[in-house]
Amino acid sequence: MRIDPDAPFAAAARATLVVRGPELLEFRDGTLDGSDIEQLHSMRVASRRLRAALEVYAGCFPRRSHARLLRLVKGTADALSEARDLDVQIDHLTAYRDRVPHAHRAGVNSLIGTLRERRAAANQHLEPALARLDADGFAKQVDDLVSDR
Amino acid sequence: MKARAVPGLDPAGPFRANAAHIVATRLEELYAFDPAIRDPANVADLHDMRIAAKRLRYVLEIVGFAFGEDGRQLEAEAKWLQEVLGEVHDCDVMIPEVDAHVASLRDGDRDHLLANDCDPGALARAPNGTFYIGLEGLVSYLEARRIVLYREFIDHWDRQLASRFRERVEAALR
Repeated sequence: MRIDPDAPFAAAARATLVVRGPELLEFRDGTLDGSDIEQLHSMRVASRRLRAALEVYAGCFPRRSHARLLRLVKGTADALSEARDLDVQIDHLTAYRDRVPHAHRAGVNSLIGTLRERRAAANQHLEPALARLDADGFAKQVDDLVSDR
Repeated sequence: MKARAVPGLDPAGPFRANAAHIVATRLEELYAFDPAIRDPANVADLHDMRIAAKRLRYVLEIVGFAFGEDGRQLEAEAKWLQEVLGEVHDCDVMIPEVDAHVASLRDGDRDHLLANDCDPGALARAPNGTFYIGLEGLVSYLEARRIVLYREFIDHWDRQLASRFRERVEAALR
């Protein structure tokens, strides 16, 4: 994505959203599949990039439709973050456990077990949050914002 | 922490001028946490400074290219701050998490003792007896790690202030 620093701010806003909008949907199937935690990470990165773009360019779009899209993106990002944060915590604790004396491992494993239960619960929030992208017409909202309809 | 509004943005105006306004506001937000972050016990300020670094980083991911090498360096700086303060925050979150887990294990062992007429000998068969040492060790580790991370952060921050990095970036924004 190339933006001319002398171009109008609003033109840069549209050019950015055209790219960052569809990126959010690229990793959705992999995230729902759940077998590769990096898919969820990539979708989270895409969501925070899109959110940042919407916040930077807030003044370039109609207020109500911009607020509606931002709310949808924030909701998606929150659900992704909840699951991703737990993945990272579990990952760190597992690496820690493998380095501590044997007598310490059972306790760390008990904590990892609790976090895994919470991670499974986070998945229950993830599915409806991602389904909302279709239900709320995410792709159309992006298109409308970019074309200023 | 709510982001400060950026006054004076003009959608019809040039990208670079608008971007400079936003970066300057986010930069000011970041530096406003000093001196509060000089006290390592100020958990909330350290966390909010991480959020400010994150906001600055993401803004620069979008607009930083317009400020050349200074923009790239500022983005790298914001990323570093976000990450080290993120690790400090992880310790601050995890320590009470472990404490709560220990408390719930203790509840289980208490119930076991109640079911055994409060016989101390029953502790030999308590369901969670083998877990405590690892969890106490984990808290000690997290406390030690937080001290190391905080020192790393504040040493870096002081070096950055001494190098007048902020002044150079602000000059590039003009």
